Amino acid sequence: MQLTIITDLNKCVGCKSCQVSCKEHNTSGDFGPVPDHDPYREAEGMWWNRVIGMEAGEYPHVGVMYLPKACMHCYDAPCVPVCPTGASYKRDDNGVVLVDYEACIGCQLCMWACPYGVREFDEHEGVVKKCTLCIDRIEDESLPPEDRQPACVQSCPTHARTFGDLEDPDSAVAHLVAERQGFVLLPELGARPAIHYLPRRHAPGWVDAETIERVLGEGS
Amino acid sequence: MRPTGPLLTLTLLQGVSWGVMAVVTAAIFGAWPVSMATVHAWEWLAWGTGALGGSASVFHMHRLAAARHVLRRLRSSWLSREALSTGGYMAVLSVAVALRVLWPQARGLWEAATLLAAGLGAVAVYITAMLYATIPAMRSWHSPLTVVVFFAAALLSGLAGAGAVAAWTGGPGRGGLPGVEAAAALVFGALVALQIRAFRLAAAGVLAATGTGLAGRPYRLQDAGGSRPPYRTQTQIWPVLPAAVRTSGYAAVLVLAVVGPCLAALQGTAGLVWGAGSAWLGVALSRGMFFADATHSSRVWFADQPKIPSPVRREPGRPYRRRTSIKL
Repeated sequence: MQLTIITDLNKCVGCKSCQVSCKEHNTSGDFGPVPDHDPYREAEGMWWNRVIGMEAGEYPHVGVMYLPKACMHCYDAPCVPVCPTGASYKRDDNGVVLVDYEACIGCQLCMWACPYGVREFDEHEGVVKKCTLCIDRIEDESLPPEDRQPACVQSCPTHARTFGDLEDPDSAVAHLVAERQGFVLLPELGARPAIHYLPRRHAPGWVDAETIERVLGEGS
Repeated sequence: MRPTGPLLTLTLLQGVSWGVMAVVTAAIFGAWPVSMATVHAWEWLAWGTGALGGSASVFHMHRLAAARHVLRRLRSSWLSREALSTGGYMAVLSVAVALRVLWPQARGLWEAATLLAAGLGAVAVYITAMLYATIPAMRSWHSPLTVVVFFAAALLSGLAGAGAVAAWTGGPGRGGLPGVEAAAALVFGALVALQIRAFRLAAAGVLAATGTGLAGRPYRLQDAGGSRPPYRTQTQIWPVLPAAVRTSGYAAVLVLAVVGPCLAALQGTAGLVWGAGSAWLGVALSRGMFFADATHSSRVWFADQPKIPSPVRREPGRPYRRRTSIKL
């Protein structure tokens, strides 16, 4: 089993609901807190899931894309073998990469080894933290089954994110990756990420003012 | 990435320590006509710098309570191996120093312990360099050149330290050292030049197309998701050095680590002390640049895609042809 999240880049509108809900859940969750030690002077704090906004292309052919980026829970996670204490590990039963804070010495070598820059250093606790795929939620049997999914998946208003087992050929995530050419980030670095993205479709063509007026007129 | 004091101190002083032990080894095999007083002073220098570097590494750990687990991953972690090899090196070197102080008549034992320490020191420098060279995400470091540069820096700084001590202890222990130090400086300079080239290629090789799925398009970052310099929670990244800072930094490295020791060598033994200071400053600055100018693969989500012109251009009526040079 390899749990994963598939993000459809066509549906992501960059609302940052996933970024905020991740922080909200994990600040009080088993692996938190996700701290902001000085939020009024330094707006940037710790985020395990960051939505990156980028403007692509050149005028007049310009587009905006949003890329939610958290731990990729790689098959060959480079952060795991470099850890001297074994604090970073990958679970055999579901493929989730986790950090044991009790064994972490805070050397940050795993942050250098991670190609995706998704590990965060908590200088107050002296440990490295990261996305846990909300392991405390998905294994919490006291929750109803529909709630046993990562906070970012549950909060997405456009259903851009889908959670499931990538190695189950009948799962929704496996179907999405197979049928929609799901891709991974920086494949050339050999980490084999489990997290996939669905590529954007071709942008719609130009909409002229007359069409806008006509559509608006039809609606009124 | 962010250059931190403990890392700079550890890597630099470990190199000085082993470099001096390499000089001691050469002296034991008769490379230089040195007095035993000078050799023992060199060994004290190696022990002192090694101990200081090893102590500095403790400050790189932010949770000492977990330090007891640091040897758990010897099979895969170069950091585990570094802790073992550096500790082993210092233990054997301490035995050699203690033998000289407590049992001076046992010269054979002292020589054996000293040679063993020098061998372990080489292993420790190799392992430290491999820690950096084996991280694929650190595009600038992921090269055998990193290991070679670490050894060259260690030899240059060790020779410089040994030369300064020889000049200070006086006597016949100075023959040939200035020339060897100048040669080491020239080799180090050539390797730094290669490293500058490798770092530029690494910076250009962070691929926006595979990092974002935006194939072939230049992009500008609107929002890095809350990340801003100095990236306090993401220490693998560091603001891109301005071109002027980078150029002046590398120029200072070459002047201090190459020109300085060569000019000092022209003065013979009189220049050994200031030549050592110049070499040490140059090597220290080069190590600072090694960290500050390094490119991590995650930079693709922290900065705009650099505008690199296509290497292919087409002129009307002519087939595509490749440009002869690419400005990086």
